[in-house]
Amino acid sequence: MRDRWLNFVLHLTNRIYARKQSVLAHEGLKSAGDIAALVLLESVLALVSFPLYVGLKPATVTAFLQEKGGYAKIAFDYHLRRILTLTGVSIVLVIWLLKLALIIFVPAFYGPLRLYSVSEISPVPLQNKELIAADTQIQTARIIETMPKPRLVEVRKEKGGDYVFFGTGKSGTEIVLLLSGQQSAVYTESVDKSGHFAIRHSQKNFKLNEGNHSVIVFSYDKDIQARSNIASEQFFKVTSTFTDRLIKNIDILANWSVIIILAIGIFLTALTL
Amino acid sequence: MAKKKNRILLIIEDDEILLRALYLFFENKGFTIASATDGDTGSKMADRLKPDIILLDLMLPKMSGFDVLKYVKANPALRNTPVIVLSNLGDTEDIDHAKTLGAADYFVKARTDLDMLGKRIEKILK
Repeated sequence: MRDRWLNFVLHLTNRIYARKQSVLAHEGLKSAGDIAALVLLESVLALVSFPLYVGLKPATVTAFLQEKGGYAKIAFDYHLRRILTLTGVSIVLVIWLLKLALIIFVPAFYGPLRLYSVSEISPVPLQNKELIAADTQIQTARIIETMPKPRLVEVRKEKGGDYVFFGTGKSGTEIVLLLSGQQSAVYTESVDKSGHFAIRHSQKNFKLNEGNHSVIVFSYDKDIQARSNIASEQFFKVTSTFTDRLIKNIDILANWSVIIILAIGIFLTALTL
Repeated sequence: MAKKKNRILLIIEDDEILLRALYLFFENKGFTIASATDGDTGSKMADRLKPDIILLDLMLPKMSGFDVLKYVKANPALRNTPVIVLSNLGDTEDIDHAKTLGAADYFVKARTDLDMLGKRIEKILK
């Protein structure tokens, strides 16, 4: 078995040599085809010959060359090229295997992929109706100019990606905070005894898109169904985390990595000519 | 009791992967291996080491395999050391040239497997 493997290594090195000669002898498309075949052969050789690097210590090979700097120094660039090719190929294989596994197994567990689906068409529950009614009432409530306006002081992004809105207002009054933009969300909160309020928006429950959003606050008196004028409109920017961006772009990254690694492979192969 | 002398095989080959494959193969056959990846170092090692047999590639950096062969055969201390050529060069001219210079045998890499090479080396050493 071991001898067959070593013979296969010999066979591959011969094929690579023959292919290199062919690259030098041809031009144009034929040469490009030879280079592609070379990259493939080098990749296979890098994988097949990997145990040679793992199982063999360079120092034991050339015990008589210590005064000349040793074996490893002589073979360094060659070694590096092989390792780089191997690493590149391994990354491509892992990414493609991952993609392949997702393509195969995700539909098996979650059913066929659907671009659009309509599900659970049913009457809106009573509670939601009330919420919608309350929201509508808040937004369409009459404005009393004399009612004190709250003030938004700060928007802070928390570690988990949530946003907390801090402000001040008249103690005991109810504050309405309206996030608007492509999406809108309405929050109500009471101003505490010290005249402060803090409203938390959880990105987990309702994810605001990346980009600019506006936020307005006003006071609301439920009993008389009236509200104050809005405090000056403020803006804040929702930025996505590195993980979010990575997940969003993983497919693009996977495809680009293949092109980059192939380019590196061609470059490294050209170096060995 | 006299210690059994190890047979020393000097491999002069610039393809590191092939060199390592040859190393593993012949180490398993009981040889002590020394190696060089260029002709100049290979000839100096042959000088110092006096190997039992040399396995020589022809296309080598710094000093070609033909020159190494000339050097070995011109050196009285090495003249009787068998040199086996293992090369990609398969033209009759190259084979004849190497044999004229004193190569014990000539193997073209594309037409060789390691067992064949191993058997030939064992036969020459006997």
